[in-house]
Amino acid sequence: MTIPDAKDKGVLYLGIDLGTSRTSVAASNGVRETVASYVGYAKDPVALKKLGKETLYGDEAIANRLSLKLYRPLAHGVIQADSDPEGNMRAAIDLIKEIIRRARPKADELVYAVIGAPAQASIKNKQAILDAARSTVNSVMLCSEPFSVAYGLDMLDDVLVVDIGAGTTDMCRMHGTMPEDADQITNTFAGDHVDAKLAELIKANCPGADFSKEMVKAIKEKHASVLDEMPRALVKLPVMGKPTEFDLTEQVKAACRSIVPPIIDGIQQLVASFDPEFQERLKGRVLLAGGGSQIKGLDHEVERQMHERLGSGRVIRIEEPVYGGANGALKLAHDMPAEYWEQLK
Amino acid sequence: MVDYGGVRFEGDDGGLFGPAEIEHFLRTEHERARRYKYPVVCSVLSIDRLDQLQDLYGYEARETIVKSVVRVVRAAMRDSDLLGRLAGDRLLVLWSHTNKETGALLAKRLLAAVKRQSFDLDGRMLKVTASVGVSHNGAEDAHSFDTLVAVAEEGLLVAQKAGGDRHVETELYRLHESRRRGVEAVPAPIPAALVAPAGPARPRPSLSDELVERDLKIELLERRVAKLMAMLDVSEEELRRVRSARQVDVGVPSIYREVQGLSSDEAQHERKREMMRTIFEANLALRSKAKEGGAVGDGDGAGA
Repeated sequence: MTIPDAKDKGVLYLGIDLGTSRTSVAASNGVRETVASYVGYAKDPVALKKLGKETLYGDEAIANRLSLKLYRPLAHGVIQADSDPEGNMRAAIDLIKEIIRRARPKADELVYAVIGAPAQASIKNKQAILDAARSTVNSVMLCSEPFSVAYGLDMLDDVLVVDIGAGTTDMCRMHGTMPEDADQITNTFAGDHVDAKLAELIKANCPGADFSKEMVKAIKEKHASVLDEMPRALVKLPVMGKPTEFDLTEQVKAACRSIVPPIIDGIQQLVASFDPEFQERLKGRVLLAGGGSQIKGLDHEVERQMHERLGSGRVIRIEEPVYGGANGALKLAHDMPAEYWEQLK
Repeated sequence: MVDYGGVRFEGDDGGLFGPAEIEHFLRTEHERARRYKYPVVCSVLSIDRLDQLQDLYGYEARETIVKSVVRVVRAAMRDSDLLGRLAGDRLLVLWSHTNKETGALLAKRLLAAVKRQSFDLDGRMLKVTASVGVSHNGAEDAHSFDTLVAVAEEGLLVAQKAGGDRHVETELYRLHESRRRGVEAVPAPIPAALVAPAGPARPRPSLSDELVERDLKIELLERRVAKLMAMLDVSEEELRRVRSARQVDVGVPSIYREVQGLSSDEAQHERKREMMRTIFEANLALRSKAKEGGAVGDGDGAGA
């Protein structure tokens, strides 16, 4: 990328949150965009002609998935290496380029980006993410995703961030300095786990009902709740081709509640290994972030179970679950000294 | 209050005409230009991302920026030009005896002058940009003052949506003029003789009279439909033209013209500086490992 040499041409800061389910960007030009973390490539020339382009992203890719080779390159928060590692890597790179493009950078401005990566991403994955971004920005850094959430809210002391994504739930305790490995726990009891659990329960309780993964996800996103008195989740599913109504209230509730005990386990572990003098304070400042924090009543449920198992607890849900990580990364980008950006060009 | 030619100067808006006042003067000037056949250019200016700046730096900062931009615009005007303030901190400028090309040049100079301004807000140097929508009375369908303003406002909207820091003339005069005529052109009422003529009560109309009345109504409705269809054709043609002329996205400029970094006024300055250093060193180490071509191990702490 050509680097403009005149300082007064402008500096665009980007804060990027790479998530299993959604990738978001917040930029210093006021642009905020989010896209589902799906990348699809036209399967054949017929598909290419029908779609009009070779690569589709996000909801557009999902809607046209029958014509595409579809990738979800960031499952479990890391670039997938199980099946078709090259394809997943290419999709991850394209996804990063696309989210930067959606921030609408001007050609004559410096672009400095901070990308929030999952707390326990491997070095190889981090390098791949950096390589992908470098082709489109002037300078780029990675930081821990839950840390960026806390930084964005200026909560650097005695705070426990619980970032519930699709692939992973990352828990990170903040104590005034950079968190270390011992300050972070990641588990896979997150949005995808809820989807899998819900699918299992629907299959067991709705004999003959046909459904896809996307349908289960849509049911979850519409009705997700852990409240005892949640509104009824009435859903129509095809049975032998005929739409049939099912009451999935208990199934949705059970699936959403299934992630709470592992969260409490993680919180307990982080609290118990903290300085005993500050444990009460830490328990009183639990921050719920990420897309999973939108499950209705989850904050109260976590707080209730903290009281049961840990004696006390106070849980706050951040206001912007979709952009919390990106906002924090943007703030980090903004605060990073110029000389650090220069050295990483 | 001073009553000046029917216009009341009711408030002190930084020495600017308010919306009602500027409209009065613009209409007068537009009529004069039409009568004496000289060119005028109408432009609407707005500061880009002003609401965002207010969210970041407060209402006082917004007012400071607006006042400074008003000073810049005023400095670029001649005595015969008119400047007024519209709702939403937009400025409306009427350049008299100015043709389309000169108007475009003046708009560019305004934008450059706004960009040269610097604002010291909370220890940070900020620069702002503006967007301008332009129209002129030299266009074929620019018959009315309302059309001029509508085209200028539309150009402003397009400039803002395209990212700001630019001026746009949409040239959709025909579309707006058609719309204006469509609103004004009310179908002629049904002839009174057929509705309820004055005088003593008539005997009930015969069937043939009722049929004639209905035919008249149908004819009126058909004429109205034809008029609306014609307006729709004009709109579609203009949209096709605008779409075909649409340029590649040049991006949205950042609100920052310089690299920021931590302000020394920032609370927890030292602690945050330490965190920045840790993140930077972790990223530096990551890059070194990449250059060496090996991964020493997985997981690298929260620094990166």
